[in-house]
Amino acid sequence: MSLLLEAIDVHKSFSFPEKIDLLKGISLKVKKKCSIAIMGASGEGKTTLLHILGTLESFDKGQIVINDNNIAKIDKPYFRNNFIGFIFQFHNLLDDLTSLDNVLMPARIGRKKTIKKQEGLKLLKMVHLEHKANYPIKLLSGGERQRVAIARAFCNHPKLILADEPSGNLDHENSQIVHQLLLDCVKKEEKTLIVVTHDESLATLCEEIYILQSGILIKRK
Amino acid sequence: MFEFFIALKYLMPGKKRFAASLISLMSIGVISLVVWLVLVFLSVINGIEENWINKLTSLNAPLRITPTDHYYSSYYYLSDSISMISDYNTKNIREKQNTEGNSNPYKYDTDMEIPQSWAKPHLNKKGELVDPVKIAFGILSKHQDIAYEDYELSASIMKIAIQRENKNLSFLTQMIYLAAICEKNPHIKHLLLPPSNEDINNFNKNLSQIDKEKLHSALPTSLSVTLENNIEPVFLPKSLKDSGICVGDRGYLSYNKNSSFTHQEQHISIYVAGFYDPGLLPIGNKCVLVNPNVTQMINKAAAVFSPDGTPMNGIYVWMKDPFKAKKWKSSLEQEFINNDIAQYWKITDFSEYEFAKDLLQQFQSDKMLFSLIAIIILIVACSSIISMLILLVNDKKREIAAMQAMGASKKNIAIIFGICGVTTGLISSIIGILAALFTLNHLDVLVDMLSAIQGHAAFNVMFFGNHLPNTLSIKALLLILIATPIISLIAGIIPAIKATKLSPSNILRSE
Repeated sequence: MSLLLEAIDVHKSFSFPEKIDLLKGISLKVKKKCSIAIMGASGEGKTTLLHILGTLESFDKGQIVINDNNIAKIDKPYFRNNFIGFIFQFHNLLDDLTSLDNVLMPARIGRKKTIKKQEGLKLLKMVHLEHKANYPIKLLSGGERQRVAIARAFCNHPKLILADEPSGNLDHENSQIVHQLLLDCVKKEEKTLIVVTHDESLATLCEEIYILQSGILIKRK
Repeated sequence: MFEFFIALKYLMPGKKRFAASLISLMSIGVISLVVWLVLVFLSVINGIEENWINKLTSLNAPLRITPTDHYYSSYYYLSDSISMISDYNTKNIREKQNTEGNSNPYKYDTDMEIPQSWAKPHLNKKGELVDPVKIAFGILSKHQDIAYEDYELSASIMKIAIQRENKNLSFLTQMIYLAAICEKNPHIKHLLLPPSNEDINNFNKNLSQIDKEKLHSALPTSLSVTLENNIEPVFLPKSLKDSGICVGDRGYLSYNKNSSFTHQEQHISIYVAGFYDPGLLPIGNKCVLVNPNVTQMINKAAAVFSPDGTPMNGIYVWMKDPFKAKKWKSSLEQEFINNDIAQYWKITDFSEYEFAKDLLQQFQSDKMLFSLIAIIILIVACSSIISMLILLVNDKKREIAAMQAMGASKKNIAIIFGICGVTTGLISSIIGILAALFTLNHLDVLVDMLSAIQGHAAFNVMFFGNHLPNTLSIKALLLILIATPIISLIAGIIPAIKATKLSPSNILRSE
């Protein structure tokens, strides 16, 4: 199967408040339609790595190619809008909008007139929330909000889904629902998933597991 | 456009954002208040200016055409002084206009030799003498939407006898300026004041039966009827009514006639036909309206100077909208050039009148000064948008980061907050404009309130009339509609820049 993402010798350091070499040569190959989990202790740089892969954060050295695009040389906002779907630990939905408006927000940002309301409803149906399409976000529970965030990540048909502790803010029952839903959606929509998590149960649902330790990424067998 | 969609959602007040909502409502309130103040003030100034201009241009027309030095030194003007047909007298504009037949009165065989110092006759292509008066009137007559008439000014001493029952005979003697009545002046009837009962009684008492019939047959088309024994009607400024003069009182105008050896005092009998409002004419309290033949007669006898620099003889032109006088001036100047008479005439609009120039310039300066102050106040008011939007940016940091993660560029984020600024400015402007329109429609209530608080009239009736004049200032409206959104946009740029400087990675990580 061909590669969707390849990271070669990626370095990242922070100089404030003191010099820290966080990532010391990360190399990673992710195949299309594959799901991988990245685990590691807090402060090891998992979120930083995810943000680098998602073009939200710059890196000092190395090369990252996603879908044959060298991300150092691309229009990053356009790339994020078209190729990447983000799911965060906190849902990060827009409070003033309804579920449907939130789901369709990536399409609005990308000015994609072809993606219409029906598509948004379809995505909400995928996360079993079509009946709450017109609910304001503030009237949804934490689990429901995270499911809306998952639906939003699939808008614009991205090739890569990046999830950062998607159930970190939920109770056990809701976490299990969200995990299953996320993996089901990824399989159904044939997307590639990179998920950063502490949750072993979520990691075991993925095809590959990596551990980030002391700035190095190691594949767990 | 998703930026507009998000900006509108952000501007909706919400319970969660109480502080931001309160500041945003206060910003809208302050800007609306400033817009209201600017619009009401400038509209009142505009109304007062318009009112004064109407007064200035009701007796003196908005446009004045006067002969130049070239006219007075031309063969056309001087030739009457050596021509027997003209009785060896130069003619005023009315006489020139009424001359029948050949415009050249000079007869080579009978009249004296033409002095060599005179200018050569100005001939047209056919070899005929160019008649600048008739050509000028010909040009004016082609325009249906204007009224025009020649005018003449003069001066004399007026003496009026005041005889009332049970009182001794008294006299009012005063040096006065005379202005020929322009009956084509569309405002003349509005300038004349209605007579009081005392006026009517006094008038009837002093009139003979013949005079009554004469007046009856002349009205309402003519206002000035010469009575039996050549008694001329005069219209006095309303201030002389306070001296005890009534309609119907009689007297005479006295002037000197120069002859070769001596000065002779001449009298013209007059009666008071009415009173008029001289408006803002600086010599208004001393200016008496008479029939054109009176000014003509006095000016023929002796040269009279103009008290306020107004040329003694000329043509007044009235149009429906006096503010279009400048446009008419340019158009008539061009027509005069095309007809080769431009050198004979000077066309002046009311803003250039000797007695009005300073006042109108002061109005312009006041308006300009207040417009500048208005812009400064608007800038200060709009600066509250900066604090409102900075609060909003801080409140929405997480959402800004999420939008950037979804593909929104820095430009998109900046546009969202720019739209927030402009929309706030526009909403405030609309509220302020509506409030100003309401206030202007009910201005008298506001003035009454101010008067009640002060215990005396807030605005002097002498200057402003019974109602404080106001005309919605279109320029002020445009200033507000253009300046407010621009200033609001500039105010929105600072928070917009702050929003674009946010690092989405740091914000999303800090959770």
